[in-house]
Amino acid sequence: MSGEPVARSADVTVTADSDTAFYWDGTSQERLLAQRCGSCQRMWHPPGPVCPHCQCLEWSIDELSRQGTIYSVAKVHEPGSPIQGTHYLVALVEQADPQRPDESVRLACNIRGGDLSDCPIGAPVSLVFEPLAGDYRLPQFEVRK
Amino acid sequence: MSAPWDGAAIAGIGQTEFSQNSGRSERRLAVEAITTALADAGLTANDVDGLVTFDFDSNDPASVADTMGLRQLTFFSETMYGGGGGCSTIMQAAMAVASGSAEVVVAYRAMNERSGVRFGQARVSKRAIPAVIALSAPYGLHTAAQGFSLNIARYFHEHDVTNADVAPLAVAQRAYAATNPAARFFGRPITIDDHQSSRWIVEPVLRLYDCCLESDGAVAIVVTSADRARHLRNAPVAVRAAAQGLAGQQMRNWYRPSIGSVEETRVAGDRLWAASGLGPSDMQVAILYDHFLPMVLMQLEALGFCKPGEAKHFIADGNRTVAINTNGGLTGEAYLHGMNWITEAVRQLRGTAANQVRDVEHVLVTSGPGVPTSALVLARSERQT
Repeated sequence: MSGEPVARSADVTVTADSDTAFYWDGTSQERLLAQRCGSCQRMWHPPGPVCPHCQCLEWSIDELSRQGTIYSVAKVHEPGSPIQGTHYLVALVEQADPQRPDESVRLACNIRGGDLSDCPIGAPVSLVFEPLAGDYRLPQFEVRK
Repeated sequence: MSAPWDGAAIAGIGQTEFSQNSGRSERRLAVEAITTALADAGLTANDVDGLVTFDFDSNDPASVADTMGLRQLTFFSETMYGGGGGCSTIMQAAMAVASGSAEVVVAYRAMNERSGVRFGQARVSKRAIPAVIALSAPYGLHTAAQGFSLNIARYFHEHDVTNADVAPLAVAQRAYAATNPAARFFGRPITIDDHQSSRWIVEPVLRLYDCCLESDGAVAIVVTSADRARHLRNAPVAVRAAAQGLAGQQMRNWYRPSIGSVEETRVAGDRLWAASGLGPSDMQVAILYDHFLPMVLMQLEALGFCKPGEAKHFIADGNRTVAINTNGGLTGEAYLHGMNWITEAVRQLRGTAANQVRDVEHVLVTSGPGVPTSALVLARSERQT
């Protein structure tokens, strides 16, 4: 059975807080944003108030690449999700820091466009956005078969 | 490093039956287990001056104290992070006793997790997802199985492990459960084929038989000073070393450099070995938290029983130097978040376990990996008559 998106995310809103507002605001423009440390220059995700590499409190915001690589993937059979239904792929996608290609961040997501056999670890994927209720949109990735 | 700790010991254990419907309140279950544990130790409620439990337990220490008429507690606590907190209860009890903050501390856990609120069900408000889970819940990453599957999938990939490699462990644990009268699966072993044909929960990492039970029941453990324990009813079980382990997030441990390993368990284990002067080869029994069986393999590696990637060979038939999960585990006996782990370790050290291993001197016990965790080294000790 292929991973048909249930698209129930359109019924749902997410709440942003002061640490994550920039990220969700970015999704409303279909941009994927992450923080870059003002001291060590490394990026991090998930959003947080301090650089987890060097604990610096100064940072700027950069846009992540729209391409990524599957870092881990699995297919949920049960108990399923009120939002994603059943038989959906969950994954971590790794995205290189555009300025420091040896470093990367990972995002949790679903994978669209294929079943587990089409989505091995290491497969290239592309950023897409799915609707949420409200202005924010939900970053997802799709596999190119 | 300092000498192995000899400040505190486990003097009594108690539990209710484990079932799918206890038919009574969690508070009643807690009191039953506590009363049984005190009787096992040869103590009474009047002796108790400390209580400790986990969070995610509906019976906080004050409710239990009030219910039982305990009026003079000098130590009370709740440990953190759910199933990672079991060994922490014994650690905190031992610290309280060793520091002179209390003399007799009872650690307890009571839950109707099968007939009541079930952890394996995804419950999400469809209106507004809170900020803290906004990066996971919208993707259908709700339960521990769903979240940990990404760690396990990475472990499988990094070390060429498949779900079929986990089957011998499932068979061995169900064999222990089959001969343990307290176990849900008493009399019901399984085969490799049974495991491999059980349905997928999360493909390709977790099948039904890889996942722990949901149980109703309660467990309680009495901790007192090593000296006092020597004069009570049973051979004391010494708390030789105790540590917690935190190496990242809880449940959403996807962002640190290595996610295909249980770093939190490694951190705790390193501290246990350093503090006790012991190592994996000194353990005759290892009770490793098996909410999800693949994570037992990951713990064996993190604790140093074998090298990274070697656990699938370590657990293969006939290739074991340490007995693992001798009560059948959380997958075979019951799921009291690891408290039924600690009681099994105590029985092995007293010589009273259903599946008794010979000449047990030291037992390692872990609490839940994948969340901030805890672990203990327990040791056999003698009564003084």
